[in-house]
Amino acid sequence: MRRQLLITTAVLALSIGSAFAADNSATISQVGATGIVAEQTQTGDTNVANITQNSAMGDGVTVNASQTQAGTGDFADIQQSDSFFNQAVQTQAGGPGNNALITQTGPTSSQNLATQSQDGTGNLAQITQVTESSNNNASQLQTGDGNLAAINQNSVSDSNLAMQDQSGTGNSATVNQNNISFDNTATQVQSGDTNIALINQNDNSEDNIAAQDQDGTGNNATINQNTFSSLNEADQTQAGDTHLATITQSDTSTGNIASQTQDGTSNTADISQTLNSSFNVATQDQSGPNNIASIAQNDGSTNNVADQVQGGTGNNVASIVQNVLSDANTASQIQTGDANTAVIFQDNGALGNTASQMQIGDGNTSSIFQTGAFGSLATVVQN
Amino acid sequence: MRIITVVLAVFLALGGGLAAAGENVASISQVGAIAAASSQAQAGTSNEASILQDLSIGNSALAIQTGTANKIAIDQAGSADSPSVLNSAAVAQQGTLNVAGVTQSGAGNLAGTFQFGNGNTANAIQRGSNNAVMQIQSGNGNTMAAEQYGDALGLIHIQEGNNLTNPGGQPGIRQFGQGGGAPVIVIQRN
Repeated sequence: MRRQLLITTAVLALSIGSAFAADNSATISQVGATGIVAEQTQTGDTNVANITQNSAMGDGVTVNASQTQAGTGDFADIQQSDSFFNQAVQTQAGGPGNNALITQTGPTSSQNLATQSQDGTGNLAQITQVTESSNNNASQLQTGDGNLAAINQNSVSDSNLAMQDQSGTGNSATVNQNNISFDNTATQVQSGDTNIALINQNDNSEDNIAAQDQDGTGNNATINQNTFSSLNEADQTQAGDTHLATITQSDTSTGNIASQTQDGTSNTADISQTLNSSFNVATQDQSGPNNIASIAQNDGSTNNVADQVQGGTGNNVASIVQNVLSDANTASQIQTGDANTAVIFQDNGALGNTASQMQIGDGNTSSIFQTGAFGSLATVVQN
Repeated sequence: MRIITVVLAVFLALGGGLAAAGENVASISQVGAIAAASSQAQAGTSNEASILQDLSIGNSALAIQTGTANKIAIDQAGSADSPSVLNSAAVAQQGTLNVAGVTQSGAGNLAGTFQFGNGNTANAIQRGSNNAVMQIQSGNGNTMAAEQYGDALGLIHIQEGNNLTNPGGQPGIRQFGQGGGAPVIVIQRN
């Protein structure tokens, strides 16, 4: 009953710019209210829209702040601090040069929702949910070329969700969930060529999930889960040619899972789980010729598992390095086709490592190097 | 004959299901390891397999090839200060014109070469004491050689087929067949 009363007394702020107007500026500031709503609509070029809401509490259903702009060179900004259950939505069509910013900060900000949608080229979208923020949801959708999208959910943030979807060429997407962040999920989907996707979940982060999916040519995907990070999961999927996929789970990181799947030609996949990292699992699956797959589990890394599968007509290279005080690791490689190369290095461990290689085709080369371990096993099958 | 039958059964179970492929190269290197095990299986033509177990104790190496003109080399090497001991090496080849070589340095090692087909060559070299070699060839025109340097050695050669030569007078050598021409070389030195 109290909640209904509060909603009915909510403040509604509405500002609508004139059609095809330019260089307009609209500002809404709301403090300490409950169930507040602010809407801004602008049509034209180089317009500016600002909404500031402090110490506000939404109902989890109503969009508290929304901004809609159509034109070029527009600027939209929503700031919600010390807020609960708030929703912020920004929609921009056109470009280039549109900027959309949403900031939802703590302390004790939670259950917030931020959504950005941009249609056009050369635009920027940024969502910031930081400082003891939890259970927040950030999503960005961009259609066009040369766009930038960034989501920051750092500093004691947990259970946050970040989603980025870009279609076009030359786009860049970044998600940062660092500094004692846990139970976070970051997902990036890019369709087109020469796109860049980056997810950072570092510094005492655990139980995070990072997923990247790219379709096109010449894309670059990177996931970093480093420095006392544990029980994280990183997944990368790329379809097309000349892609680069990189996952780093290093520096006292344990129990992490890294998975890379590439379907196409001349792709490169790289996983690094090093520096006292243990109980990690790395998996790489490539289909097509002229691909390179590499996994490094080095420098005091123990009980790790590395699996590589390369299918297709051949000319692929696979390498697994488990060196320098690395014990009880397992490495396996499977290659089909001709003229493939497979290499496994395992050395300087006190306990035994296991290495296995299977190659099906002609003119293949396999090598296993094991040094200084007890009970190591090496197996090669070529047919 | 019973020995050959048993080895052939194991051989077919391990490598008989492989499809043919060619010109593949496989190498395994295990250095300074204890109780390490290596195995290689290749099928087809002109393949090469090699296993190096250096400065090792209690290691085992197994290489299997089916096809033609394949090569296997197993080297369980060591040094005067750190000999490789108590290792075992086994080679099995089925087909023609295959070459197998086993080299062991140290004491208490076992080496076995098993070849089934024609025109094959097997060679085993052991340096150290309490070592043993077992070599079996079934087919025609095969060549077998073994060299042992040390004390308390054991050597068994078994050849079945035609165009084989029995050097005679050497312990542990048995040859079945008829004809001559292919050399069998056995050298034991203390």
